[in-house]
Amino acid sequence: MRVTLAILLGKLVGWLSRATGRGGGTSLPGRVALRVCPGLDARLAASLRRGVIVVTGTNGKTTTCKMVAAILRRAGFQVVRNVSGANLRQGLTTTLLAAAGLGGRIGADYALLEVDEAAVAHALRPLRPIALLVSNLFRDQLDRYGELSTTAQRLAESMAADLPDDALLVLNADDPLVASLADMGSGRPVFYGIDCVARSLTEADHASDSHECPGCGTPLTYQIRYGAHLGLWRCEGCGRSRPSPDLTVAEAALQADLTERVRLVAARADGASATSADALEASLKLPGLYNVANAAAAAALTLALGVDPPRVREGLESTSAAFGRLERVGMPDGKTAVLMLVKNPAGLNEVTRLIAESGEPRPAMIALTDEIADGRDVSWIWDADLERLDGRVGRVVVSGVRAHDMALRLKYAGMDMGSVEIIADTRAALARALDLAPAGGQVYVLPTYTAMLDLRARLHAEGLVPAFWEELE
Amino acid sequence: MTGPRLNIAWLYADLMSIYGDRGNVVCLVRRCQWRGIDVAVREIGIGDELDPAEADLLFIGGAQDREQRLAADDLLARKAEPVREALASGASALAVCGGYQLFGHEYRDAAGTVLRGIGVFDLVTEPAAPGARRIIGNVVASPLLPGCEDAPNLVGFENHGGRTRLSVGAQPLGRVLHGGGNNGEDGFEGCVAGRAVGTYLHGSLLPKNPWLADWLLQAALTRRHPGYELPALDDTLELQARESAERRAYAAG
Repeated sequence: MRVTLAILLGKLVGWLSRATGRGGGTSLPGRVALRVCPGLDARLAASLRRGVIVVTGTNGKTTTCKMVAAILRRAGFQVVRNVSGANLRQGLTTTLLAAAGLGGRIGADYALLEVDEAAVAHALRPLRPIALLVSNLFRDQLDRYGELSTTAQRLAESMAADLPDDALLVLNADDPLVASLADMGSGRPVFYGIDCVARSLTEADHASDSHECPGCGTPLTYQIRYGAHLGLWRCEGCGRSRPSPDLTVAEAALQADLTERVRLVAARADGASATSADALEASLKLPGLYNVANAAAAAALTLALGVDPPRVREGLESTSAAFGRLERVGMPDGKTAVLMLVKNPAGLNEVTRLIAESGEPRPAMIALTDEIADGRDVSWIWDADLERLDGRVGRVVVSGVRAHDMALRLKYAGMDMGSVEIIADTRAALARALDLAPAGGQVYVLPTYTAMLDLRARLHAEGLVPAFWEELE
Repeated sequence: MTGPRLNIAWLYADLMSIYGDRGNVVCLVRRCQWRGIDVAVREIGIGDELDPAEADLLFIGGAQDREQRLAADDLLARKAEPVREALASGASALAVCGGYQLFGHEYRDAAGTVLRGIGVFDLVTEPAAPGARRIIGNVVASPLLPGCEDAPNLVGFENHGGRTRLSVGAQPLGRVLHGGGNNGEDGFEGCVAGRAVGTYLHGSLLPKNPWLADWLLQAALTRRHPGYELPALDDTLELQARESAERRAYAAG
């Protein structure tokens, strides 16, 4: 009775907040329902036919979840997902109750939940997931979360306390902090990693975090680096090294049309060398090595859950950009705006690298904001290698409440300031960048999180993009 | 004729670089290049020798606790003497956040670990009282740097748990108009000792406070080139960014 009342009230609150146009109602319904029935989330999670999958890490959660959902659906499973950003306990409960019947059961196989790395305890404790995927731990919004090693520490403690022993633990072998989570002894580790020397960096990004061995503190040595602190790492102090991946990206080639050809190879359980039968080739609509890593993560997780490789390939190939992550928006004038969310130096480095790799210099709009959800501190733009853009990007229009900070960053990155303009309003700045593109051309749009919400809301009002909560269906 | 020469020594560039500390070095280098100054940056890490005769301008940034502990041991054991020697012979220095704490006498963290500093600044840093929060947010401070009291207000962003207390007679860098500063209580931010400047401000600090960048450069260049005067640069954009950051500090908190 209490369960039914909680679900009913939660659904009603969700309906009201949507009907009154006050956003997607992503956390209030859960808050109300948990007030009425405190164990509701655990009960709903237990009613799933297969269970809860939690995806965490600093960058790539949303994209990885999109890929995992596409793969699982192609394999015939029903999947419930949360809206990005709604990942505290109330938000997760909102997702679950929206999918539940009044009897307190969810008629789906999996609940796939993306959760901020600092909020994992909210998901692990009540929901007892069958799988946890950790993609990477970068410097991100430290002024909100505290320091990086604290975040890793809290994540490890939460896993030790609440991750079931038989849960799958899918880890990025190339990230030393993430790989070392296997040492906590909870869960069954499955590693994925990249082995493509052709895509390695010649020198380290300046935004690198975590240079020291998470075990003994000795500075790590890298045979190959793929960006920030990711790569083929080794500790000369205690002998720890990058674990041998269960799933390896053996090839990744960026194509002229901004797609990515990848070859994934599964390690043989008996230790024998892999054959072509163990390989899976796919063409990703999402370019950049960071998306290749996301695809490897999704493949490693779903293969470990027993999905057939052809379904994995279909799911990967059908996935287009998540909300604002390399989303192509066709404008009325026939030009295309390529939206690329940037929220921390590692992400900004990935995007600038993609722009540099893609050849043709195109105009760009960069919007920098400092709302709570962005992190108040804009210092991070100085940790990104914007020097890489010099000569690789066309004219740049900067925007957002901290536009002058970004303009100054570009000045000190060596850009010709004659080709940089400041336009405070993001929509006007986008219009200007589009004007600068040739007929049928593309512009890069690099907004921070709240700038993206603002810009997308306005593009939505013009009928050019869907509202973000509609996109999940 | 070759231009004047300046060597920047960046201490623990790999370990102690957070919240855009690198932007300070980028700023110093560019402002030299734009003036035809022959500038070189040497990164000095753990185990490396610091040559006091070579280093004209020392920079040390902030770090997470773990990295700060690693750097602190090496700083005390191998760099304390050369840093003092360089400063005594006319080098200038900028120490930000964790580096600022280690340039004081002592830093005690929340876990109770005591790190001895090298005592360039007459100050100690203690952990926040139990239950007190990290000091995080935008800062505006009016300059108290001797001779620069009329310079534009310093702007930056602070993020520190430690509470830094200056000894009686130590010279603060600024008076806090907005934000926490050294300890959130006495209204002072940073410290100045001769040509060494310590501060909690990120932002990055120097790009939006170009007068302070030039003060450090002028002081450092005078060591090798007595009588040299820095040519002025067009700082219109820098000052616009400073004003916009100051407005934002008051608006956003």
